[in-house]
Amino acid sequence: MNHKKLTVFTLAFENIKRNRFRSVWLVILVAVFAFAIFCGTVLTGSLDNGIKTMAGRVGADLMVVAQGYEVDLEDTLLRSEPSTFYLDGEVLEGVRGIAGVEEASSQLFIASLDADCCTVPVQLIGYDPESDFTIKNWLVNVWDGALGQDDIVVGSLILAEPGDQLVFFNKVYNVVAKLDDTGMGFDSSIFMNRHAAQVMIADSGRLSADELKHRDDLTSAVMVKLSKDADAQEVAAAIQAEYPQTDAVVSSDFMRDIASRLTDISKLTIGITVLLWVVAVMVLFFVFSIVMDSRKKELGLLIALGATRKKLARIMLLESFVITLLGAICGIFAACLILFPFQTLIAGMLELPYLLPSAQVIFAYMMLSLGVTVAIGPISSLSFIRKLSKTDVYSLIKEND
Amino acid sequence: MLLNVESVSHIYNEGKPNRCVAVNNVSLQVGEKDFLCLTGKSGCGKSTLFHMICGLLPPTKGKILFQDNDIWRQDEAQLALMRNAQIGYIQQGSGLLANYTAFDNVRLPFFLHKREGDGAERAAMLLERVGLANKAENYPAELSGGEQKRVAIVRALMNDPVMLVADEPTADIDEESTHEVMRFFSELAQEGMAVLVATHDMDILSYANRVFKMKAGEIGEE
Ligand SMILES: Nc1ncnc2c1ncn2[C@@H]1O[C@H](COP(=O)(O)OP(=O)(O)OP(=O)(O)O)[C@@H](O)[C@H]1O
Ligand SMILES: [Mg+2]
Repeated sequence: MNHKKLTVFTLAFENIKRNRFRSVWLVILVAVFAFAIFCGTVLTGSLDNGIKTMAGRVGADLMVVAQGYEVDLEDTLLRSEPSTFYLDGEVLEGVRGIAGVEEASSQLFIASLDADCCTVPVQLIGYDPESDFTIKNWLVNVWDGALGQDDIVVGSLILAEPGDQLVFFNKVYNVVAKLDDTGMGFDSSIFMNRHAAQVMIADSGRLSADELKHRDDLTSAVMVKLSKDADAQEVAAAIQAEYPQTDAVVSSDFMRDIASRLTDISKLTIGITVLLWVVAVMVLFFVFSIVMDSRKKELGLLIALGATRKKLARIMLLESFVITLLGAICGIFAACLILFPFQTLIAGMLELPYLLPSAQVIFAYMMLSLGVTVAIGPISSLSFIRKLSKTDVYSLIKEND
Repeated sequence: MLLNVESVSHIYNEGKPNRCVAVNNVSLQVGEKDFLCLTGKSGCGKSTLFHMICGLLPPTKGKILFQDNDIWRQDEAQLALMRNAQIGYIQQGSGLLANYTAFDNVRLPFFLHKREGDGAERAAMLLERVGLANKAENYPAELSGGEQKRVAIVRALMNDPVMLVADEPTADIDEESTHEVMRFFSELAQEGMAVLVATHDMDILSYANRVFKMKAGEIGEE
């Protein structure tokens, strides 16, 4: 015969065990909500973070591209959709001469290199370290050397570390630095000297030797920094008047456009996430209250046998705590298994700047999701017991079972 | 006097159209060793009176003194301790907790307040006494109605109360078991326990030393 003492623990566990069906479903329910609110919060946080980061990324006031290629530029900046588009090399010098332009630097984009390093097509961006004023800013925290002809800087999603070597078209390049996550297309880009990039294009056979002969200063985009008092619209108009075959994109407009579109999406996801939280809290509270209500007779019997409401509360608290804790841990663990390993896949599917917040922020989200889902069961059980009449036990035990 | 019920009434649904005076101005004294039977038609107020005596339902009027204490002036903890240690209550119908074995149901009252030990010996002895030693590890769903009732009876005795209050304890057991239970109660009364039994069964009134009859909430001694 089993002579175990009947403590709060044994009583609570016996209740859980003997009502396996109810317990398992409660655990599943809590797990589903914990999963949903944690995923929702991380997704929303990542989008918000991605959008904020992107806004600070484009360091140029104007971007001059070949006419009709504005969309390609957007693809390059936002997502990992590599593109190739060319501009007459002379534009750079011309732009430098236009009033209001303080600095100008050209960049060369080479699309879709299927390289060994990477599962996704890589975008190569050639820039001119001498005149560059955009990429320099991103390198500030990671590297401060001078970029040689055989050196490359890789985006965060490229599977290479500083010190590694990568081979493109039989040429070996040294990885000198790796950029931080941006949530944008740059994450799967490789940055190199513009001249080296041009040589690579020649090697790749992408353009015929004939075409290349006339274009030894290939350019995809000219990044322009304006002097302080210059008006972006006026300068853009001046450039376009001078070079009708180009589009001069005012990046504040360009970014504002994208940003406002993204902010709408982000507002929507924040709204949905808030709604999710409210629904989760309400449903869990409601379900736990119903479960308690269905156990009125059981509670009444315990009181009739001499249990104080405090004792009762301890048993029920432990019971619901075990269930919600188990559920919340399962749910959040499942969410982690999806959110983190498939981060790039999610970002790719969303086609939006998606950047996981810092580990501390994610941890805070996790604790919040865990805390709230774990707390609801016990709180709901406790509030039910508090509402039980101190004296009228009779009406409880009279309940039909 | 162990129990002194002074002009107690209970009115259900006061102020509503379905107002019901279930117990009307009942007075009753019970001493140690008293074996008291309460009869009366269904609905006359027996259970209501017992619930008030056991601290499960507050009276609308009057007071109940148990060992000279007004039980309805105690705080929650004192009331709980009284229910647990001093009054053994056997409710009408089944009152077992479905999640615990017969053995643990019997032991349960032992653990609801601080006590030394595990109550195993006494629980086993009590189950033995009602012939259920071999069913100790059965859950209530695995017991017959009469077996459940007998478990509920010995559970009420677990903490050796001074008063036993049984609401139709023999309603669903056979004649032979009924007499066994009543003999058991007689022994308890002789040992000093006050025993109160509500019943419809006229055959068992002979076990009692006092018989009361209720009629529409009012009480009279036979
Ligand atoms: N919760 C309640 N609300 C309203 N009326 C009630 C309630 N409980 C009992 N009553 C009424 O009080 C009266 C007495 O009920 P009680 O249960 O005390 O009767 P009883 O003598 O125990 O009957 P029985 O022999 O059938 O068990 C009945 O008329 C019943 O309808
Ligand atoms: Mg009754």
